[in-house]
Order: sequence, then structure tokens, then C-alpha cells
Amino acid sequence: MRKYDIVSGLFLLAVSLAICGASFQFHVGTLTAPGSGFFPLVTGLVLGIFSILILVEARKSGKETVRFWAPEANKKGIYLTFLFILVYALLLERLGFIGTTVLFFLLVSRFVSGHRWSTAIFFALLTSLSTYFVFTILLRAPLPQGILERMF
Amino acid sequence: MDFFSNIAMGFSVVAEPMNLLFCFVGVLLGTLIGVLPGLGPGPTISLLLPLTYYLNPISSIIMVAGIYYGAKYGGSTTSILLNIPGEVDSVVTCLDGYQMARQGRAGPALGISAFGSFIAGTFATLGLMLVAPALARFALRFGPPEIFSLMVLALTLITYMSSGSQVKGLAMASLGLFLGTVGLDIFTNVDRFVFGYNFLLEGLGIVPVIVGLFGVGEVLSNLEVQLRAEIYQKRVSHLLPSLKDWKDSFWPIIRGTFIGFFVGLLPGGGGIASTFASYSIEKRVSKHPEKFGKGAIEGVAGPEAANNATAGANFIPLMTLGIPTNGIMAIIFASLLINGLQPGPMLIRDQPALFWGVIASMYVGNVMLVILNLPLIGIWVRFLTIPYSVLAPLILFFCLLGAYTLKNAVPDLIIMLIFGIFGFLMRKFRYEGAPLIMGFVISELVEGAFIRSLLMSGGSFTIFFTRPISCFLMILALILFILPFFGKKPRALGSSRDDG
Repeated sequence: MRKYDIVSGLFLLAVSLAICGASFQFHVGTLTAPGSGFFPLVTGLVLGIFSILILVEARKSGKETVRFWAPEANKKGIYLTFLFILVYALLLERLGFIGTTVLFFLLVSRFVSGHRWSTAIFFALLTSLSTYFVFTILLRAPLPQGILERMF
Repeated sequence: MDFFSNIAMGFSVVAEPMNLLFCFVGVLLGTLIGVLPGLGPGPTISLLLPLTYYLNPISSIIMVAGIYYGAKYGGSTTSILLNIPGEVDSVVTCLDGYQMARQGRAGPALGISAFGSFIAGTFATLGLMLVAPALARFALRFGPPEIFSLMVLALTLITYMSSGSQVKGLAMASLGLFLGTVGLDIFTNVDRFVFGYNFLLEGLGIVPVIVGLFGVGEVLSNLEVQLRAEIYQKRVSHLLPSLKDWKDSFWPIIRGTFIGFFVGLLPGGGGIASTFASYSIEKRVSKHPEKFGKGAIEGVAGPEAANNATAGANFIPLMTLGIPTNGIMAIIFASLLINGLQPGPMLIRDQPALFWGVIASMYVGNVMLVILNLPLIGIWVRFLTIPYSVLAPLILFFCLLGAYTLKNAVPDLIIMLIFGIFGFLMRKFRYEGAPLIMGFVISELVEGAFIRSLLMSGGSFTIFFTRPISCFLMILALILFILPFFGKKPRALGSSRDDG
């Protein structure tokens, strides 16, 4: 765990320095008249102190090697999930809710969960259409409109 | 007299068909997700947050509370039948519950855990009703320094009780406090850390952050290693515990209720701490400790009662002091905020219908849960056969839907994704999500109290130590912070990771 603690401790230390630096972009003020940068600066300093303590603790922790990934980890599934969420965010307001959701389900069911195409298509249509109707008709909440939605 | 009229008001609130319906939906969903391993109450409630936006506040809080205590019932089912805790709180139930199932006594194990949960849940609600109003009246006298010290104590406690490193927890809490400052500053009207992105003016959304951290992060962790398990006993019969079972379980249930209630009052006092405490006490007072771990019914009854009493007691610090005691309470805190309600001492006074309505709903909900969990156990067992490969796309989709629909904003999806990656890495590097979320949701309150205290004292930090209540809270926080350096950390109590 030692290596991980050192890496994460250094990362948090860098974050805390960034927070402190960014806080000075605002009016920090004084103790008697704190400005808008004052509290963020305090949180940055406190984070800095704790990240140094994490580094100190890391020196004491055991040297046992912990692998980042579990044995036989489904790494591909995890990377693809990130990618598909990003695709969803980028396409949602261009393609409309139903189209993007169908696409997302197809991709995740086929490539992450490993279902057959037929199962993936079934799930994709079922979920996207039912949620679309729940949101637009029952809750009257607008969802992004694309070509498909305009047909209804 | 006031007391009884309040209860009567509470029950009249629950009796409204809408509230009754959402109470039922809450406990039903709670049982379902409690049964399903890999989906806990934390992510579920955060996924439903946008939906609560469309409901009236009372119905939505009744539902959210139902999910929370309902999940505790459901979680024990998988512990007993599969030896897999449906929720982290049910780990202890595996020890003797699964052994009972192997001996063909799954029925009484499930039965006593449901009845024990019911008794404890009901008593905890009674305690909530008696303690909360008095505590809230006391807390009304708190000024900014007391509030600030209380928040510091709460953050220290939640990290003290956690299984991992306390410094890591406190680092996460300070990061959470910082993240809460993004957006328009309420004091000076200056936009902070917005970097020209207008969608950040309102701050980082609570929903995308929580959904990312708990929902997406959880799915990714589950995707990495797939769970596979065999159901030990497909047909469950004889759910009603025998007279001897009752005799063996009576005192464990009573003790479990008390332990669970008091642990639940403490920030960080999650179900897991109280269940471990109850289990070790039962083992110590038992005349036959050698039977523990081999199917002793006391080892199921005590911890299950403790677990549910904790769930009820968790609401006390939230409703009276405005302190979320664990990850899920932080999410409930957020759902109150979304509904325009500020959790804290004013809540009971200003929103009596909400407070008493939610309390009354807990009595009703507990009755519903016993009915749902005992006769219908066969249905829940069948849900266990749904493979995670079917659940994962669904959960991910609900995460996307939840994060997007609150403000209909694509940037929220990106925030969710970033926190999803962060949540996944946090699990890998052994950091806990609860302190971060807690710091994040109380950030505005902490900043307000801190700045006002400094203004009151003319810039002197001694104000936190010259006022008696504040001083007491600060010293307590300091002691809890120093103790782990001397190796005094309640490791045996396990973690406060209630984030499912």
C-alpha cells in the first residue's frame, strides 16, 4: 500500500497547492475582515497538512505489494464504460434522448456486459421508450428532442 | 399534550394516499436494492434525487427514508441465504445467519431478523420522537462558534469511526469542504473557481457529484470483479421462529436496539459499527459462546436489531443539528436541500408536518416491511438470480438520467463522469467517499459559521475555546484526532462505509 499512499499523498499535496494558489486570485482579506478567498485558502491549507500526514503515515506502512487491478480484472469493460458515458454526454442534445439512450444501451449491453445483439436491442428499446414516456408524459419533464422524438 | 397532538398530526400526514404510496414505494425499493448485491441505498437515493424534485417534499423524504431503512431489511436476506451481505451493514449477519441456513434453519433466521428489525425500528422511532425535539430546542441556542465546532467534531468523528486511515478521511473531508465553495459566494457575491464556465455559478451539483462518486464508482468496481454465488436454500419454509428461538433472541434484540440507537446518534456511527458491537457483546454475555459462528440465533437477532435501531437514530443528528452522520444521511441532507428545506434545529419548528409525518411513516413503513419481507421472501430470492450484466447497464443509465434531468444540463454529465473516475480511484487507493460528501454538503454552513465567528471575535480564533459548549466540542474533536496516533482507533468496530 506504501507506493499508493505516496502517490495519492503527493497528488493531494499538489491539489492543495493549486487550491491555495487559486484562492489568492480572490480577495483573501484579513482575520478581522475575511474575503471570498479566505475560506477556500483555509481548506487548501488544511488539505495540505493532511496530505503531508498521509506521506508521513506512508513511510510507516508496510511494503507489501498490492496490485492496482484485481486478477482477471475486466479492464476493457471499465475503460469502455468511461468512453460510453462520454459519448452519451456529447451526443445527448444533438441526437435526442431516445436515439442516444438506445445507442448507449446497445454499446454497454453488447461490449461491456457481453449480451447478444438481440438481447441488447430489446433492452435498449424497452428502457429508452419507457423512461421517455414516464418523464415526458407522467412527470412533464422535458428531455432533449431529436428526430425520433419529433415523430411522436 | 403537545406530544400526542404532534403524533396525531404525523399519522394524518402519512394517511394521505400520496404519502402512503410513496412510503410503500420507498420500502419496496429499499428491500429490492437491499437484496441486490452491488446496488446500495446510497446510489439508489442519489439516483432518485431528481425525481424527488417533482414530488412534494414530505412524500419524497418519506420515500427516501423508506429506502434507507428498507435496505437494512433486504440486506439481511442475502447475508443469510448467500453468505453475501446485500449491504455492508449486514456483514455480521453472515456469520451465524448463513450457518443457520446451512443447517436448514434459513426460515427462522429470516424470521427473527425481520421481527428483530421491526422491534428495533419501532423503538428507535420512538426514541427519535422523544429525543429529537428536545435536542433541537437545545441546538437553537447555538451561535456560529458552536455550530462551527460541532461541524468540526462531526467531521472528525466520521473519520475516527471509519475503517481506513483517519488522516485520509480528514483529507477527503477538507477536499469536500473546498469543493463546496465552487460557485457564487453567498457573502460577497463573488463567483469562485468558476473559470468562465457559467454552469458552475450555482456550484458543483450535489446530484452529479454523489451519483458519480457512489453510483458510477460502484458500478465500475463491481464490473472489475463479477460476483458469483450459489443460493443455499431455494425454498424457505417455517419463517416463524419457535418459542425457544424467541426466548434466545429476546434479550439480544433489546440489547441490540439500545446499542444501535446510541451508536446511531454519533456521526460515523453507521450500521456496521453497531452490528459488530452487538455481536461481540452477545458473544461475551452468552452462556455458550462456542456456538457463535456456527448458527447461533442470538448472533442474528442482536446485530439485526442494532442495525435497524441505528437507521432510526441516524435521523436525529440530521433533523436536529443539521449533521449528516454518514454517506447516506449526507444524501438525504441533499434531498432536503433540493426540496428547499434546511436541515437543522429550525426544521422541527418550521416544518412540523414534515418531521412528524416522516416519523409516523417509519412506524407504517416498518409494518409494511415485515409484511413484504416474510410472506414474499420467495420473490426476493428470485431477484437474486438477476445477473449483474443485466443490472450494470440499467444502473449506469439511471445514473446518467439522474445527473442530467435535475437541471437538464450536459455539463452535469461530465461532472458525474469525472467524479465517477475519481470514486473508482478512491476505492483503489483506499479513500472513503463518505467524509468527502459530508464535507461537500456542509461546506456552506461551515464557511458561514466560521466567517461569522471571526467577525464576532474581531479575528480571534480563541472564540472557539472561550465559549463553554464550543470549547467542549473542540476539545472532544481534538482528543478524537490525537487518539489514533497512539494506536487507539476502534478498528474492531469496522467502518462507517454506509455508502453501499
